Amino acid sequence: MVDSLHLSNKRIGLHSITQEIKIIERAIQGDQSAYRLLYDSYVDNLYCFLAQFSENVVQQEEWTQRAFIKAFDKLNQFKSNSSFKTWLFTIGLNEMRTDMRQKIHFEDIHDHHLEHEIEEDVQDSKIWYTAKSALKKLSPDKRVVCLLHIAESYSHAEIADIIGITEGASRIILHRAKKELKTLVST
Amino acid sequence: MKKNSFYNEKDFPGIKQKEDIWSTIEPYISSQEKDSVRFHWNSFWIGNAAAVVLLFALVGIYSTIENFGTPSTNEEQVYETLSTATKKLQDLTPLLIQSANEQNRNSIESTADAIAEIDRLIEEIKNDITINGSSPSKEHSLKRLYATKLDFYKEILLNQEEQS
Repeated sequence: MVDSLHLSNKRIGLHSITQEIKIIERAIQGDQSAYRLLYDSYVDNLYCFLAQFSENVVQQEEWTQRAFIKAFDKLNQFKSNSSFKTWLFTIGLNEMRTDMRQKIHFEDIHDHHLEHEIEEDVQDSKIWYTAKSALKKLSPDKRVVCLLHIAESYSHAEIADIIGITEGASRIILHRAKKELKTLVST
Repeated sequence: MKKNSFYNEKDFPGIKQKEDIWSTIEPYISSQEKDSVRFHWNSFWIGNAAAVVLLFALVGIYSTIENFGTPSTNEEQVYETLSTATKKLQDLTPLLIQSANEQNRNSIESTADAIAEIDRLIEEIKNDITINGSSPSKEHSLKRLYATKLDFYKEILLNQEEQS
């Protein structure tokens, strides 16, 4: 049963939000195969994202496990105003932050800093792809925002929800990260 | 599923690795299928605490008769202090719920429900101690319950910190 659904999931993907909500409803009702579909759809994304914060495979696996278990545990609290992936990333990020509490901190940035710091649209820049290898040299807070925005294509509003910072703060952190990456790449 | 080109190949989990991760997740899902009861971390801890309480209550019937009528003054002071400390946190909870964002609010409310359940268990043991007398096992389970309660408050406060 799981295998057949697994295969069908690979064929059709989870493109439709409606379809995803139906799968979540089935999982809430205790359908294990439905949760397996969600797992297969998002395990790569979550694992890769979390892998950027640890060189330790066991740690990455543990964060991923904990995120999926907690997501399942709280599945009936899931609200369809965000995607399951966004919700899962929020949980995964919190699991990681719990373990990295001393190492990851998002400073308070107020929106009035925006006009002084944001000079250009950073999303279109190619620097992210050329500086991928330097990404791990960024502080974890900058890395989180960079990865969510560039690798996972989240908007600043979505990042603000996931991390619990303001949209402006997300823009500023990304802008600062880009400046730092430029320096790292040029040295 | 199309792989995210931003990440390096080595960042992706292998097939075996994904199955290993799933094999850890699956038991939680399976237990729900069998029992039609959803696994819940809070319930898990409460269940553990309840099991400890039941076990010690049984043992206590036989082991604490000799202690009947001899109140443990020091222990009572400890519980009085713990009760006062957690009462302060309890008073704070509605404020935390009020100021939490929607996602955290659900989590805090769920944790607050679990704390209420722990309070009920604490009261049960205290009543048992009053009627049947105290024993090391009952004292131990009381302390465990208070510790779990404080842990839950810690969870609420850390959630709040992450939000702010």
